[in-house]
Amino acid sequence: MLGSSIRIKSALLLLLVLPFAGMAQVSLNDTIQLENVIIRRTAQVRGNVSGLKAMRLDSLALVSKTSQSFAEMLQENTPIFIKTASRGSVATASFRGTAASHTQVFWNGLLLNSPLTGQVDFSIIPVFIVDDVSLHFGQASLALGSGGLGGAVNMSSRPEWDKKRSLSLYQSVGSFGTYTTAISAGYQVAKGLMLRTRVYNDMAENDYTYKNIASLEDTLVTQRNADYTKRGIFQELYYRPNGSHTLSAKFWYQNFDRGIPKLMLTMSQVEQSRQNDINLNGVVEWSYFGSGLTSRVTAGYSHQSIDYFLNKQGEEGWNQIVDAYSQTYMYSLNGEVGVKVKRWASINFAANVLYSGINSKELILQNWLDINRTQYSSYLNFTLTPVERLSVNVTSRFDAIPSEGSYTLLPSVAAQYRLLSHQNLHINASVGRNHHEPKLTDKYWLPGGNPDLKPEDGLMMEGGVEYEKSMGETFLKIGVNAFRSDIQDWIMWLPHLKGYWVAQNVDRVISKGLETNALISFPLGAFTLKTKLAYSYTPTGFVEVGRLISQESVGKQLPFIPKHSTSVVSMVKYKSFYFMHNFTHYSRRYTTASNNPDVSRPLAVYFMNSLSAGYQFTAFKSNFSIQAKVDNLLNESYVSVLWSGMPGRNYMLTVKVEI
Amino acid sequence: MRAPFFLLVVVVLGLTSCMDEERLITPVDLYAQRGVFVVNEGNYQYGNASLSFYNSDTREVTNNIFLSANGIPLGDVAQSMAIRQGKIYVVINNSGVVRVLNSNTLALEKSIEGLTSPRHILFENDERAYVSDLYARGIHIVNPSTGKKTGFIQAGTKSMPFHQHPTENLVRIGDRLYTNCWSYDRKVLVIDPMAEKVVDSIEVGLQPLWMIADREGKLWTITDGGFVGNPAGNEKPKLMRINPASNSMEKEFIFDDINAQVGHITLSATGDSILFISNDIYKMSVDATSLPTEPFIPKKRRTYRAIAVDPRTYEVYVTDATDFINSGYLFRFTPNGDVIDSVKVGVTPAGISFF
Repeated sequence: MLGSSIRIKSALLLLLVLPFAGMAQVSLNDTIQLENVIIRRTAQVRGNVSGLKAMRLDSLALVSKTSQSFAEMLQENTPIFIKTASRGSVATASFRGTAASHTQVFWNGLLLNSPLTGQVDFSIIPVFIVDDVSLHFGQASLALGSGGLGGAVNMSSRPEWDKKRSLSLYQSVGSFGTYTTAISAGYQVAKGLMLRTRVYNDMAENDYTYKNIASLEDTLVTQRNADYTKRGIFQELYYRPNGSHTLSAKFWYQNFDRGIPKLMLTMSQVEQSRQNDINLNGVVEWSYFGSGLTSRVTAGYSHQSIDYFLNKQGEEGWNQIVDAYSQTYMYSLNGEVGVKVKRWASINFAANVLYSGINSKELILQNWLDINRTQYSSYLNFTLTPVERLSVNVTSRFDAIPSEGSYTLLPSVAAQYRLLSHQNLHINASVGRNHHEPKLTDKYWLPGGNPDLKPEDGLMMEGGVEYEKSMGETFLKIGVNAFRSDIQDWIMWLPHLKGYWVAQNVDRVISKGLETNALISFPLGAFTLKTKLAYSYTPTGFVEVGRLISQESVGKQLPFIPKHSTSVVSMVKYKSFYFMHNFTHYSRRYTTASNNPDVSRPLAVYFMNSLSAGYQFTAFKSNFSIQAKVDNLLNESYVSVLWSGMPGRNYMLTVKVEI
Repeated sequence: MRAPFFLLVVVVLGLTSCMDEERLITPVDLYAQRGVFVVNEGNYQYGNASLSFYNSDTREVTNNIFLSANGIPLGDVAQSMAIRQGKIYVVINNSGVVRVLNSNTLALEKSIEGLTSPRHILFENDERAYVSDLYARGIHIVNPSTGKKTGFIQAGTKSMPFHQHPTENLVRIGDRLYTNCWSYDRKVLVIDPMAEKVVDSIEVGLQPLWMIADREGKLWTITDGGFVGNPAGNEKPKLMRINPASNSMEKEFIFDDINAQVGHITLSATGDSILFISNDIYKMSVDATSLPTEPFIPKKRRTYRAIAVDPRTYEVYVTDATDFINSGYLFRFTPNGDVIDSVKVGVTPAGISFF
């Protein structure tokens, strides 16, 4: 019954957006995104972000982390804060001191944020299936969609038209019984018709030892029930009949089964606790790139099922404590048109319909939820270059959820100005509004969902300066950005006397701070040295809390959000060898709103180092690359989430063959 | 210039280290002190359960006193505590353990481990105690001397819905043991502890939260009535008196407000009244025929959680859980309900024990 309902509604959706598809055929322009001063050279990102902060990740960051999860890659290469309990467990990302649900995540144009949690578990995404990653900070995310009060992560894959056929094999072997195998095969069936298939299997026993800081003797214990197996297939098809039109279809299926280990503090009976995630995502896209006109129509489907159970051994066998099963689904249709109306002006329009829902059951307590919603969004953008050195970006997004009576207009304006005519020195500034709708569970979960919740409403401002210079083979880039996000009606789940948690609008949060980044790359004899640094200062806290939480929380740093975060990647290249060092730092994170360490233990300052070395060579008409990596180089004993031990020094060897 | 900069970044950051925090222990000596222990639940999976000690003579409070004495956290979600023969037994729900401490130094002596989701402990003698459990569908029998489990009283089976029967407060009247079944349940179970089996059950209101015995040996229980969306139902909270001689309900008082936030019940020092939490704090004769209309202590902006009467001074101690995520408060009132003192304690103070 539910299935047929979904099918009927998706058919209706198609009818609703066909007009946009028709419009797309008569207009154009996608190349303006590349004309972005702030992101020039290192980034070519989707969306109109002139005057806003966005960056594309270095391709080496992706290639060198092929066998890792997306969470680990982001943690080592960006100032984004990753929160994860242990290796292989759920990992969420937050920008600019906001919550993980304020990070919108897109995969080939498809929104991945779960209708159930509002977040994306980055541990489930293998780097292997992603070719391009761009980060959109703050208002830059509006080009992709609303809700990214912190920002957005945009992942995509792309065809390799220059290769008639390709075959790549990856094999990694690491500590704690970690094995990753991945194969990618591409084939141009005919001119302009390409197929690419990627399959992978990633598994780990994860039986590392850690110091149990909750025991009197600081006992070294072996992590149990933290094993995982992640298997998936990613199929792409591209059809390019000529240089202007491209039709593509991408399908990604994954099954991720993992144990959920006990906390250090748990001394109860033997437990069985596992979670199985099945993800199926599909996108079909048609795009047109002409002179002065671009258009794109994307239809997508995202399905996720999560099966979680917790059993404890009792006197008469296993006691079932939790047995929960949830399915989430999202159907989306997106149309975009870009027109270059003048040499100095272009207009972009996009419209999107998203139908999402949850079907969730907990069999022991007999809780269930079957709910869905349809969201509409339109986007209008004018990118103007009235004088050569000035670029202005005027954007308006309109969001609607008619069934919930929610209609919101999100205007935004950004500008960047080249200060010196012959130097790449730019200043940028923006101001605008963004909002984040309560997720379905915030409003309707039983118990605790609050149908009266208001959307989180943000007034966002930012400004910065960036300089870059090339001198022969030496390249220097440095930038500083300041931002301030004033967010009303921040949503938190708060405990209730009756033992459950309730979603509430907890008044007002201000997230503000500074972001700096620097990149220097230069030759030194036969060597090439490169260092990339990103540092964020994000004091974020409640400025008003009403009567819902204690006044002690006013002016304090939000729980689990670091005030300082740093990432440094340093690399030395010599012929076909490279040597890379990654350093990640997060300042102390408080675990309670009052920041009172006597109320809840803070998480200690986090310093993490990893080293990797690689060598590339050609043999048997194939390209080989070998990488050896040491994580947690200094063998730190630490936790990232309270009472969940993390692994000490560990090793990984990866071999890649391209035939 | 460039190379030294590069090397500086690599070397300085690379050698930055030491995330491990030092363990601090401050010895505790409560010998000859009088006061009140507060059991602070903390938050689920935060491991911030704690003990606070309030010296009723000096009016000083020491928070995180277990952590100070031992250098390790008490556990995850503390539920209750009992003091017996120089030992303090703290029941830690989500850690599945009962911590056994020296009552003067609070040094951890042993842990009774391997429990599913323990709630309260009641002693039969030095070698036998009962531990109720939210999810085990029964009551554990443990030997407090050895810290080992020695038996189990079955209260429900897997074929029963929810986790029935969850067991909560343990009250001994005569040769019977009584326990209220709070979570998604509506029973009070009657147990023959020597035969180690349930012999009877009494239907009460939905979700009996707390239960005590009065001086006449009658049982009083208060139900919270569930909540909106509760698959077991949602009804007005009730206060009931049970006659253990017949295992039947003698009195039933229904609260007007279905959303009333009820809490613990306690007996007055003279034993002729009960005090209970229903948003405000009320005092009611054990012989009353209707609920009192005027609160004994008004709610104001507090969230009352636990209540107890000092048997020595007749003073009333009440905890305020505030917002459940920041510090709570312990209030001390005169026997007439006037505030004497209030001190900040841990997160969600849910239990009071006199020392």
